[in-house]
Amino acid sequence: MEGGKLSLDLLIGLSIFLFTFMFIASFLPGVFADVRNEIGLMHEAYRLGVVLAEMDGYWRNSSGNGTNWHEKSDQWGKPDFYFFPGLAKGKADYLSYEKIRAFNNLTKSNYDLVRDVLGLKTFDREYDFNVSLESLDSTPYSPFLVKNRAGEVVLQAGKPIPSSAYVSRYERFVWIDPYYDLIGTFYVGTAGVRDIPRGWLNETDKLNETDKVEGNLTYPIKLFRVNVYGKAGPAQPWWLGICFNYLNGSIPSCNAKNGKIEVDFGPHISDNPVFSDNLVEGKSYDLTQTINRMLKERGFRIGDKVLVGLGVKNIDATLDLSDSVALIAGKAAAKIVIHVW
Amino acid sequence: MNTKGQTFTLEGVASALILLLALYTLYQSSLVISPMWSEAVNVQTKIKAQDTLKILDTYEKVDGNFYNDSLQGMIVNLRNCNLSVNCTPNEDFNYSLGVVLGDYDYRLELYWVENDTVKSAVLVDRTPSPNAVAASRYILLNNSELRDSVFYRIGVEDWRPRIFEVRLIVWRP
Repeated sequence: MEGGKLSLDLLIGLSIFLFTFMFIASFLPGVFADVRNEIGLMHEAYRLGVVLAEMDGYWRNSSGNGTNWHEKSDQWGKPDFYFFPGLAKGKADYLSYEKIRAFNNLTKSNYDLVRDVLGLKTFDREYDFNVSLESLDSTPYSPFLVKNRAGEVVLQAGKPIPSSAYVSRYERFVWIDPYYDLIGTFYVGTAGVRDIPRGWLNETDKLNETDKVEGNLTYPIKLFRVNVYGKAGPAQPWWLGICFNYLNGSIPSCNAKNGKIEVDFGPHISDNPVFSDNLVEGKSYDLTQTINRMLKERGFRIGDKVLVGLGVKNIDATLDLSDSVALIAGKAAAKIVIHVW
Repeated sequence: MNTKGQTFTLEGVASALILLLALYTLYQSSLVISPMWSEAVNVQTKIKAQDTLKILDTYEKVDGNFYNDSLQGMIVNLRNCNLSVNCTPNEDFNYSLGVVLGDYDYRLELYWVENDTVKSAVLVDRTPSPNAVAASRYILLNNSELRDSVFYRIGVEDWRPRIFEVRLIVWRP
């Protein structure tokens, strides 16, 4: 019958239409990029970067409030204790070493609490994060974490970064204060017990009554600063020679001229060293840039090892050394790397 | 029965399914990006440029001198040169800027006011790519601090300030 046939057509047609309509309605928002994860995640990573690098943080409970949330570790997680873990120290990008360490410990011990207070856990979405403090030349393919003088990683907190998911990465350049804990200070002089970096060798050339310290460094060197306190012992010749050579080369001796601090490349210091200056009591010699420029001219690439030898004679001096934190305009610079997914 | 202009039911269903499949493919393969969202990528570069200037802005002095690689040290060390001709930042500054910015390329400009007019000089002259972003920072120095530099004003009191705007334009090469 004509009537029955028509109604069946209508029913099929209507259901196909409704099905298509629902289909379009549910797919349409997905066309816009920010609903998909890649771009939506960037806002979260950016926000986390601002919170950590630009805000001091705060704490508040019935007894008071303040910004030193990092000193209240016994209160974290208590129901009447509200806090917010910013890492800054009064101005943007100027971070407190103590707050960074506290944030590291807090995230390691109570990841969910940190996610909650940072707003990464909302009623309809949950984000995971990973925050680390890396050296300025660190890349996603070869990350270089900042370590303190005790050799511990300063900040590496959060969940492991997944290899197959939309992950948003954000970087903030910061400087850390105080940086004493981030830099190794080694006694390389002759006035006391020598304290040299792990793996370095300490030799005495009895014939010349000269000491030699030898070890490896990685190019580019982030900090190489010699602090001269004075002569050690009576008025005798004194010097500090600093020699660099390829790893397969050698540095049999590294004697500088009397009263001089000298830097050169090769098995010993030549007549025309790369750097030469008079030794002055109480003066610091930041040789980082001189050494890096010299090594670059010799064809060294990022990550290459270089042999270093120090010729030490009657001198009272320390060596500030860092392979992760760079001193830029007097500030210990590194970067905070944030991953959110 | 009149069959003119009429599609049979089975063909109707088949065509509807084909249409559905076409729509599905269309939605899956298209992505709408608003011009504002594309800024999200530039924001990272801009923040890096701003952070770089913040790190280099150190008013602290050692033995009465600014750090050579600070913005202040860079300005006061512009000596014995002609602005926009052969004035370039000192080596320490170039080195430190290179360390912070890594593989980003950059252009550096300086702006200041002289006799009620805004003057500028290009210190590092490289041509930015279309996706370059700029960041700037104001540096205040007084006349005595600018002694020996090209900005020193003879016959002007030591305390008279001069404000400089350092513009850093950064892009991925």
